[in-house]
Amino acid sequence: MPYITETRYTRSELLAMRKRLQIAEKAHRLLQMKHDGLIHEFSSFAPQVKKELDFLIIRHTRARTLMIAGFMVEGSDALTLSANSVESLIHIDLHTRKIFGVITPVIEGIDIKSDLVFRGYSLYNTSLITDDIVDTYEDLVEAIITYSAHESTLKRLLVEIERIGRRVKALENIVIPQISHAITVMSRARDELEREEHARLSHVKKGRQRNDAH
Amino acid sequence: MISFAITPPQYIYICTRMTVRKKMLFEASQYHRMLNMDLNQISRFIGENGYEEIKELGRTQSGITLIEEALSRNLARTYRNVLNATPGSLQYLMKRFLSKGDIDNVLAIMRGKEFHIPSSQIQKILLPGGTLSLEKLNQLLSLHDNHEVIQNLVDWEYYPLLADKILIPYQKGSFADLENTLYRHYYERNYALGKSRIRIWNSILPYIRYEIDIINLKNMFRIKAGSRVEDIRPYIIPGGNIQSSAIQDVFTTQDKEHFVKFVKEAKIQIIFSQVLEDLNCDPVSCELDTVDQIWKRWYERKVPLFLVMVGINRVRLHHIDSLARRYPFSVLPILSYLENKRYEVTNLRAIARGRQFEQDPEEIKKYLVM
Repeated sequence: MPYITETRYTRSELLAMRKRLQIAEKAHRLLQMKHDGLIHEFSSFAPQVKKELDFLIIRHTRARTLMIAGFMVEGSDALTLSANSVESLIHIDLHTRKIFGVITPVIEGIDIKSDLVFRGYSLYNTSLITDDIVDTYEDLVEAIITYSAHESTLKRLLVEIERIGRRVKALENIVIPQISHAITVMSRARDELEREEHARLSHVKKGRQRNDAH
Repeated sequence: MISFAITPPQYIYICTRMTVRKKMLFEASQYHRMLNMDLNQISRFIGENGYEEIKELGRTQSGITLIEEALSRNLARTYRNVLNATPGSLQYLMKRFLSKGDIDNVLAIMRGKEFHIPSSQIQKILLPGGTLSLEKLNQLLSLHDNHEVIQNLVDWEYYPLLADKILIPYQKGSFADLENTLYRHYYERNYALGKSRIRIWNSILPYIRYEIDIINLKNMFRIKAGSRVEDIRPYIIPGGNIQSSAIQDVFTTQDKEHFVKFVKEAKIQIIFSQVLEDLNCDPVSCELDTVDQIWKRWYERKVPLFLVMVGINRVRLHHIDSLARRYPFSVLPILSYLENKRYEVTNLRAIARGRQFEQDPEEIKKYLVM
């Protein structure tokens, strides 16, 4: 579907079209810059998130390994008892920040790491493996929170890059060429009109001169 | 306090009975066989070797649930059998020792009430091996709230502490405080029994002291690694061979020489050397490296590896066995049997869980206390 459907070959229309071209070019330039900025941000952020994902997988594997060890050493009853005893709660603070106008989530865990003596289980009927499991799971929760915030940021950046990219391409391949084309057509049409007018006036002038001579 | 004294023949009878029972526990070769079995084979094997509960529960349960449930019930049954088999003052002493299980059970019930954990879930983890019977525990479980639970425990020996410590409405951390207090009281009373003038009870004193030392040292390492508290004294049980003040001194030290002196004087080095030897460390380098290794983990605020703790349990078991041999007609053979039975259950669970998670037999072997 053409971007420009109706055109009147007037001077004001031509000026308006030129103004539109200027705006479109400026928007293209700005969006291109934003697109490049977002890609730069994304490409510098993605390796960090990848590292965080690897880190998360390592921590998850460690937590699982320790959990198996916990089941082997303590048994499911003792582990359930210790888990039921834990009273420390993790608070999650959720707010947002803007990256190139993109609203991204910032997730922060508060009180993730708990002090051994305030966890809620007794020191006398639990063993070292329980501490290790709790520590590892706290590390895992920390990694999950960090990764989830950054992964979400990355996804939103990606969506925005796609959106801006579409617009840049639309401006580049459709809007600006069509306006330029319309301006060319209008200019040519207006030139043609001017030539016709010039010819008509010449004919009128010649007619008058002929009448005056007779 | 004690209803009647017991005669030497009774002592000889019960100690011999426990020694025979101990001989009937699983041997290392049987554990090694089980390491290559699947869960069904393990449940069948232990069912044919004294764990009757497998047959009772086999109709309704299977796999790891069957094995774990059967092991827990068997352990509880063993505790109650021993309690019923011991006469007079020995029974009193056994009650004192087995009351540790009551603390676990009562606190599990109270936590369940406070945090609205379903009774069915709590019921699964109760181990009625102490002085409170299963019926009593079920009755407590059926009550509405903790106030009623406390009111129904008036006859329990820890009732005054319970009534004094627990706050209604509940405040965060109260259960941990209460639990610590109850356990401290448990160990202090056992220590007092060992220190009493009754000759037959004196034999347990070395065992209690060793037990207290192990708990204190374990907690010292745990608190150093996992907490920022500066004063460790509230968590130290008095009565051990190592003084509370010495533990507090070393807890705050940053001086390696001070720490090494403590490790040598407290004879921790010997325990750790044995443990590291068990973990296939070269004996000569073990002896030399032990102190450095302990210091390194201590300085970096890291707890010793939990496998080291499994090793310490091994050393502890050997220690109580040697004490039982030194005092063959005392309470120690009974305690030795109970501890060996407890670790048998732990070993069987480790094997079953290890096989469930498809662990390598050599890896599972590291978790066995024998």
